[in-house]
Amino acid sequence: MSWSIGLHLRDHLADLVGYNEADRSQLKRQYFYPQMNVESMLGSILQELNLRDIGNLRLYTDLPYRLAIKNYGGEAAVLITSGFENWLEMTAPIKTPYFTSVPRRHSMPIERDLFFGVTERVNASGQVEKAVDLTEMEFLAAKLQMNQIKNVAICFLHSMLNSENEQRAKEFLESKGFRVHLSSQVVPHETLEAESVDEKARFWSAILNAYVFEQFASQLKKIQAIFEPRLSSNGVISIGKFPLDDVLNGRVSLLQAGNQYYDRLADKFARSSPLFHACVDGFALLHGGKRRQSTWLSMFGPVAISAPAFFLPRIHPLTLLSKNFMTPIGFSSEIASYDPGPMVFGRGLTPTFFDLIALKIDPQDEAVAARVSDPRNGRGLQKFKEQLSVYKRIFSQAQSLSDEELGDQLFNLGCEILRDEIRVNLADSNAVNELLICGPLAATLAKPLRARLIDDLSESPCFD
Amino acid sequence: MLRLTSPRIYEKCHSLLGPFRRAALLTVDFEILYLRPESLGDIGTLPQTTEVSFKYLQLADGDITLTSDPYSGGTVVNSPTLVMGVGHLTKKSGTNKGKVPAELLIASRLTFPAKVGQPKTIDDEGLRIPPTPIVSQGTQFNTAVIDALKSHPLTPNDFIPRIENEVAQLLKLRSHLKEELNSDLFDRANVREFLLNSEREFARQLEEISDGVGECDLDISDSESLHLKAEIHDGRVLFDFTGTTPGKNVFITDSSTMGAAIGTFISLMKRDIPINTGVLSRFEIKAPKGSLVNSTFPRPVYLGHTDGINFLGNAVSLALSRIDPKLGWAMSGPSHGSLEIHFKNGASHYFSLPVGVGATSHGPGLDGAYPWRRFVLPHSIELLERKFPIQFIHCGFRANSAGQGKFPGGHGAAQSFKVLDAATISWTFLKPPRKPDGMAGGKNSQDSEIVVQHVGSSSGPAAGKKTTLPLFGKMTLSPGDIVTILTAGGGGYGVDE
Repeated sequence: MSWSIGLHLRDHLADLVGYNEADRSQLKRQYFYPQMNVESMLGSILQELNLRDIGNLRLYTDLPYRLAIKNYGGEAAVLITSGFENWLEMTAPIKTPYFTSVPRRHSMPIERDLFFGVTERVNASGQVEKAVDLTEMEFLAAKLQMNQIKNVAICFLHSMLNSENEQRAKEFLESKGFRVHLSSQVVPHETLEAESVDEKARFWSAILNAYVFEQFASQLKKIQAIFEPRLSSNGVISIGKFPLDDVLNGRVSLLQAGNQYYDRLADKFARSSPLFHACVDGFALLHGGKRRQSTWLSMFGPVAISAPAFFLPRIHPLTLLSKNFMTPIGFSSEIASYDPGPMVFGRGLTPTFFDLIALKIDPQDEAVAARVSDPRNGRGLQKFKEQLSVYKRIFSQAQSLSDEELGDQLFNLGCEILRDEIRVNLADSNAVNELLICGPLAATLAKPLRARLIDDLSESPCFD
Repeated sequence: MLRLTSPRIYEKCHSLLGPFRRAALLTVDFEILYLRPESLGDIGTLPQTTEVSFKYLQLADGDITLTSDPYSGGTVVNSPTLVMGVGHLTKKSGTNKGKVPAELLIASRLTFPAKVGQPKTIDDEGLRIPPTPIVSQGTQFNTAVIDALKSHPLTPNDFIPRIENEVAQLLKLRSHLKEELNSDLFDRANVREFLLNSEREFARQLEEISDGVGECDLDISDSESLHLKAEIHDGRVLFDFTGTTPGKNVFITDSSTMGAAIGTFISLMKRDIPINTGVLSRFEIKAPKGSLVNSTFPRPVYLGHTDGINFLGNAVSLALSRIDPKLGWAMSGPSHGSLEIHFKNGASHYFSLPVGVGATSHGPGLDGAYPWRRFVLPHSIELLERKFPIQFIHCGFRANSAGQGKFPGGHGAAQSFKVLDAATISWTFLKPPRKPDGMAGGKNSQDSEIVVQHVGSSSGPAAGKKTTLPLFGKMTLSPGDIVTILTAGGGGYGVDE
C-alpha cells in the first residue's frame, strides 16, 4: 500500500488529504490544535491515522512568510553596493497610517549594523565598472564571522543585467562556509522582465530568504524526521512542486516555496472567479484569472516573488478588538497570535475577530467547531461573553442591545468591512458576486460574505 | 440589521476609499465625512476644492470636474483634483429635471512631478486648470477639454492616461456608494450622529491637554517671519497668525494654512483621529489676508505648499509645547530639497528627499522620513539609471545631521549622483536663518544643502570647484559633475546626560 499525501500545514492547522494507490481509498481530515506546536500536532495526527508506506508527501506551508512578518527569523547579514547601505531602510514604509509626531517603521529584520557596503559597481548597461575586490571581501568575511553570521544576502545594483560581481562574492563567501542568497537568483526569470524589477524588491527577496533560512530549514528537518519512518523505501517529500532537498540547500527561493499553496489554490479554483481563503490565522483574496503579480508589498517594502494576484485584507481572524476613536470595541490594526490566542480558548485577555466568529461557528467547519465546543474551553467562552457585557456598558450606542446582539453586530461589522475590502480590491467589482470561499472558516463566513462554498474531497486544494 | 452606525460609517468610508491615496468624502452641505490626506495641506485644501467645484459647477450624480488651481482651493498645480457627485434619486421636477442630484461628493487628488525653479507667478509653476467639467453623468467625456489638455505644452506626458484611470476608479466607487445610498447608512440622522460622536470624542481627548496660550516667532528668511499664537480653551483650539509678515518667496493659501495647523495638532495627539467636520469644528484659524499664510492670486505657492507648510508645522508644535510640555516636539527638517534635472533629449526627473524627524518628549526622531507627507514618488536607483544618463554614488541617511539630546533627532538624507551627459538643473529649497531647533535642551540639527562638484567641467570659472547652491536657481552641468542633496536632520529633545 502506498499513500500519496497532500498536507497544508500552518502553525496550528493541518489540512490533510490522501490517496491510496493500492485500494484507491481516499482520506480527508482537517485538524485544528490552537494550543499545540506543529511537531506535536503532526505526531498526534500520524498516530491517529496510523499512516505508513507514504510514497509521496507534498507539503504546503507559508512558514517563510510568517517567520518574516513576525520577525522570527535568524541572524543574517547583507552585503550591498557601497553607498546604499541605508537605502532599503530609508524607503521602507512608515507603519503609522496617520500623521504623528512619532512615526515609526516596522523593525527591520536585519539590524542596520549588519548591512555592509562593498566597493563594486555594475553600470546601467550591465558592464562591470568596479570588480569585487577579494581583499575587501576577506575583511568583510572576518566581520561576518565575528558577528556569528551564517546566512548572507548579496544585493548589488544591476545584478539582474550582469551577476558577475554577485557570483564572485558568493564563491568567495561560500568558500568560507557562509550560505549565500543572491539578489540575482531570487527572481524567477521566466516571469519577470529585468527592466521591470525594482532593485528594492529583488534585494528584499534575497534578504528575507537569508533571514528566514535557518528557522525554516530547521522546521522542515523536524517535519522530515517525523515523516521519515513512515515513508516507503523510495518515498519523497516535496514542498509544493520543489523537492525538499532543493529547498534545504537554498537552491530555490524560500519565499517562492512558501507561496506554493496560493499557487495551487489559484490553479485549481481561481481560474475565473475570485477566491477567498478563510483560514484561522489569516485571510487572503485571490483575484481570479491568470493574472500574476511580481511583487508582494510587505511591511518592509516590495518583495520580488511570482504569485497569483492576491490581496491580504486588513481585517484578520486574529485582529484585536480594542478601543478606537469611534467605539470602545472596534477593529484595531493590531493582530494577536495563537499564543496567548483568542479568548475563547481561555488564553487571551483581549477579544479578537476570531472570538466573534467562534460565537457563530458553523458545524460544517468541523475542525474549528470541535475546538470551540470543547468543554475545556467553556471558561474562555464565558470570559469572552463577560467581556462583551463590559464593553456594552461603556458603549452608548450599544446600550439597547443584548450581549448576544452586540456580538452579532460586531461580527456583522467585521464581515461588512471584509466584503467592502474584497469588492474595492477586485478589478471588476461585479466579480464579488461570483466569490468562492474555502478554508477552515469557510462555512461560517460564506453567508455573510455572500460567497459560494467549495467543499468536497475532489476539490481539496491539496489533492492532485 | 446593523445598528452601530458611527463605526459603520467610519469603516465604510475607510474601506471604500481604500484605493485612493489622497481623497475626501463630503455631503452636499460640505460636511466632511472622511478625509485621507497625503500632505498637511490636503486637510484644508481637499474639502475647499470640493466645495468650490460643487458651488460653481452644480455637480449632479456622475459629473466629474478637474482642477489644479491653488486659488480655487487646490494645493500645487502639479497635484490636480477630481471632484465627483454621487446621488441615487432622480429629480422629478424643477430645473435639471431628470438628472440625479448629488448627495455625496468625492474628491481625489493625484501627484505629478513638480516644475521646479524661481517662479514669479503661479502660472510659471505649471498648468493651472480652473474647475472644469470633464465627465457628465458618468459616461460622457468632455473631449474638447481632454483634447485641449493633450495639446497643451505644459501637460505632463502621463497626465491624460492617469486622469482617465482615476476617473474609472471614481466611477467604480460611485457604484459602491450608490448601493450605500440605497440603504439608510448615509441618512441625515446617521450622518449627524456620526459627526456629533466624533466631535464629542475629540472634545474628550482635548481634555487630556492643558488649557493655555503659547506664542512663537520664527524667521523663515531675512525678510519673512511667522508669528503664531495658539490657544486651547474649553475644548476649542485657536491658531492666530496675526503679526505674520507678507511673503517674499514663501506663499501659502489660507486653506493650506488651516490644514497645516490642524494636521500638526492632530499629529501631536499620536492617535488615529478621523478628520471630519465633527473634529474640525473644534478649531479656529485666523490667517490675515496678504500675509504669507493667506496669500492671494497670482503668487506662486509651490515652495510655500511644500517646505513652507512643513515649517509652519514646526511653528505650531513649538507654540503648543509652550502650552503643554508633553506636546513637545523638536523641529523636523522643513525642506525636501526639490531639484529637477533636464537632459538634452527633453527627458527630465524630479528629486525630493526625506528629512530627519524631530525628537519628542517620548523618544528619538526617525531617520530619513516624511513627517507630514505620505506620498513618495516612485524611486528606483536601477530604473533611474537605465532611464537617464546619471549614476548614483550614494543614497541613504546623512551621517551626523541629527540634533543630539536625551532623545536625538532623526538623521536627514543624503543623495549624490553623477551626470553622464550634459544637463541642466533647477532647484528650490527652504533654508531658514536658524538650523532646526532642538527642544528642552536638545541640540539643533544640520540644515539642508545642495552642492555641485564640477568634476566634469574642464574650463570656465567653475571648473574643478565645489558650489553650494543658493535657495533657488538654474545651472548647467557637464558630464562627470556630481550633485549632492543633503536634507536637514531633526532637532534633539532634552539634555543629553
